[in-house]
Amino acid sequence: MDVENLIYPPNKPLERILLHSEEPILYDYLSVIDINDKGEIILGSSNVSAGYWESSLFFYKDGTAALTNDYFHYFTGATSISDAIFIPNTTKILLAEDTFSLKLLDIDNSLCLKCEDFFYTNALVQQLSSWHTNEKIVSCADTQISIWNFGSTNTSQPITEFKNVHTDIVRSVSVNKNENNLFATASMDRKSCIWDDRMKSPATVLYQNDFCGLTSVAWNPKHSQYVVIGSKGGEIYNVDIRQLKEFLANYHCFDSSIHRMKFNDSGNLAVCGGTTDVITFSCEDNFQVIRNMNTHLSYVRGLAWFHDTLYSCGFDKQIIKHEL
Amino acid sequence: MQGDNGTAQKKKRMSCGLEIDCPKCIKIALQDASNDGFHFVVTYAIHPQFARDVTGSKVPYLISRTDRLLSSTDWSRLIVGKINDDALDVDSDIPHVAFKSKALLSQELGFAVHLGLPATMIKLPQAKNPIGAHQIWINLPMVHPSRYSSICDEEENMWERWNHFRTYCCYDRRIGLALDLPNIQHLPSQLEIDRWVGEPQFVLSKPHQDIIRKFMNLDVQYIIRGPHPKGGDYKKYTSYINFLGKKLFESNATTEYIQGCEDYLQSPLQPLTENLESMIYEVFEKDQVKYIEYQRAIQTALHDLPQTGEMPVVIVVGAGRGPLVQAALNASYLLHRPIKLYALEKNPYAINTLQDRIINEWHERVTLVRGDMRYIEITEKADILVSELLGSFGDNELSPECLDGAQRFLKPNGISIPTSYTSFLAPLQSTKIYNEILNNRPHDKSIQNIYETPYIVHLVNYYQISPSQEVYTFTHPNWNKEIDNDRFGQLEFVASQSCLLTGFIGYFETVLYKNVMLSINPQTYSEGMVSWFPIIFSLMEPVYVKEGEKIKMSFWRMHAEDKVWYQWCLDSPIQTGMINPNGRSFFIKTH
Repeated sequence: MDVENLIYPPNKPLERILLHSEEPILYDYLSVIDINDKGEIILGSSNVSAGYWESSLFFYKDGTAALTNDYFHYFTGATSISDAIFIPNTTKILLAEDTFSLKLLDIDNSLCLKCEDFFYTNALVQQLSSWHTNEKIVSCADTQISIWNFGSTNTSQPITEFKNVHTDIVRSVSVNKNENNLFATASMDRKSCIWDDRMKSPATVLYQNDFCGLTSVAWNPKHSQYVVIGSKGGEIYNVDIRQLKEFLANYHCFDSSIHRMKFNDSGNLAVCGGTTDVITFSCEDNFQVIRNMNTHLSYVRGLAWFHDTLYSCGFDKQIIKHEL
Repeated sequence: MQGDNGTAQKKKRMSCGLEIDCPKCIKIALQDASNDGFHFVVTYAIHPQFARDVTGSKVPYLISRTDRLLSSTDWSRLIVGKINDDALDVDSDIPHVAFKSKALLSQELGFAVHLGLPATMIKLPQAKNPIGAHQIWINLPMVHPSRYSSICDEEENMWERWNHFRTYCCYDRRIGLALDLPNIQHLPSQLEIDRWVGEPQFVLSKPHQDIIRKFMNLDVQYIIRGPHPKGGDYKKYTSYINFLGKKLFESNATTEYIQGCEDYLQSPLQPLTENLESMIYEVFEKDQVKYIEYQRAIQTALHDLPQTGEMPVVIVVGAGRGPLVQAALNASYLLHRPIKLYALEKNPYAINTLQDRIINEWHERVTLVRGDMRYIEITEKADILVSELLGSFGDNELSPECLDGAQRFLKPNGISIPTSYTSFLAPLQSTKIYNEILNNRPHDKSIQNIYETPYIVHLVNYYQISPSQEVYTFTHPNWNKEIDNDRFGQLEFVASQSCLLTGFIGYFETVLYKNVMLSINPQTYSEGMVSWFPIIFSLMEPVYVKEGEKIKMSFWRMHAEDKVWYQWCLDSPIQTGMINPNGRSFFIKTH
């Protein structure tokens, strides 16, 4: 249709037909980024302010390809993306979509990733996290935590579900990479818990904030007695799991909610939130700012490390590579 | 799941909505939901992941989907908006959090109003000033998860939080509840459920039959929320809800009769000064139970009359269009005991009907007298005086004053049917009614005036805080030398759980004769009787009552030369001023 020369009555709405694009579109809102051990990258982009809430997931062979949107595989989702991660030790990707579905995508030779299987959660997934030694994935949605095992044959149900612990939305979950059964959560009920999925009463309150909800959590892989918790007020707290309910150090990052925090294997922490900042810290017991980078033009939403290189993506349609 | 055997099965229309958080295309989502039998969809108006700054200088132009995707009728009938949690921290102790939340909430609500959505659903915030002309549905769980969470030391009382919030909002009727039904193992007590039934609501559900049955009388809407059913569509959910609408709906003549009157305020009738209209008589005459009992009472009384050889005289006062006259005739025929029957009525238009019946139905067996029973002279004296002058509170249509006059033509050992009637009061929680009173204020009446007036209401959206108690009784005939129809009662109730006292409900019981009774008092309710809805005596402002606290009140029936009125006040937990002193806002005229 030649839109430029179309004459249409001024008071009537032009009927737009939703045509599915052949080519995957990179939308402005880059919300999710993940990198596996080989340096392969997946990027999720969702069209959250448009008439149709669609999404595309892109697979890049390496960082250079990612920066130029030179994708190797793609997947067009049924709706916007909640989160996406590589399932370690497999050629699979787990994609959580905002229609409460989890899709298992397989990386094979075709350009378009195939959806091998899908499952349903009971609410919007806030975050996915994986232990790197096996195919277990933990997801948090509303007040519920679910643990999935993609190594086994029967994956249509989670192997464990924890309900009735947190009393408000669990915004973030992070695993202890050194222990297959431990993970931490941060919830809008102002509590952060550590969990052992083998126990009958799996959760213990790690830290409680008096002023606002907790929006992010990251378990330090280098010093696994430390867990960092981020709040809606823009503060991060370093907590020792052997000294519950007290924090060793805190830092006010910005006047906005902490959105994501990611550690690399050397124990460096990257933080982003409702600003254009990306802040990196070295964390032992104290927070030492390494760099505060302000190169994005809109909110930063995703962080992923590949060794000492950090990739960030945001609502400005950019992936930025930061070398430490 | 349509009616069996092709007959139209009686059921309650279940309005059912589907919660879909983030559909790609809103039009297709609506279509799919409609195909599955849903009447509306609950969805985010603005995408929950669209984190944005609406306070700075670079506020994005795009907010969400264009409003031109759907017609305005579709937006205003089929979509209920959901508000993002990020917009709800408006009272946060952290300044930047509160500041950003306020701006976000303002934009989210503003957008919902712009779209013309009929309602918006939000989780209970600590917001002080919700905006918007449309309804706000506060989404909260019936039981707060802290009650059963292993990491919580203290339980958050959900009802108290809700009560606090809506009190702040001045009980605005635009605020409704969207209650999450709890899991089976976390169901609250019956008492707690009853208290929720007294709230203005819309219900989220996984079907819980007993709870749904309680809500069946209210026109609630049901929202289905959850993951997409595997391999199928949502049809089975709507089918099930509709099935419940049939299974749980106890339909009978009663419910059909009163459907449409729920929570509708009616002014008490003033039959002494005004003549009742044909339609009102017709409505009364539909009550099967009342007339069966009256006939039974007349028959028993007639049977008890000694066989002296003289024909018993029965006078029906306030005969209306004659149903009690017919009842008396029936009793006479059944007992093979002829009677001399009088019908007395002051309404000239009812006289017209009675005269027609005498000619065409009663074959001159009834003597018609036109006049006011308080003043007319009838030379013959009655053995049985029959009347039905009762209002919802028993005496509120001035039955005592009328029968005091009518007993002039009752033999000294004659009986009155009814023999006595007793008024009852119980404390009431109903913000619905409190708001209805305010919102139906006629322009020429003040706020004080409307709250000092009692109303007759078929209550559904209410919670009766405590069982009713007796206030006073009238007995007939009253052969005292000095007749005093003034009354005073002081009642004390205990609140079994925290609640909001908005007024008092009034009922009555009457003994027609010996063991034949009629009652609208819930403890002794006459099954199937629909003639009387309860009466409400309001408070000027709702009063919060803590669990275990005493509710004390005082109640007067008083008179002056040309009127009778009620006045009341609350003595505990707080002392209020006198409500309707001297009948300044409401009284019953005696002429």
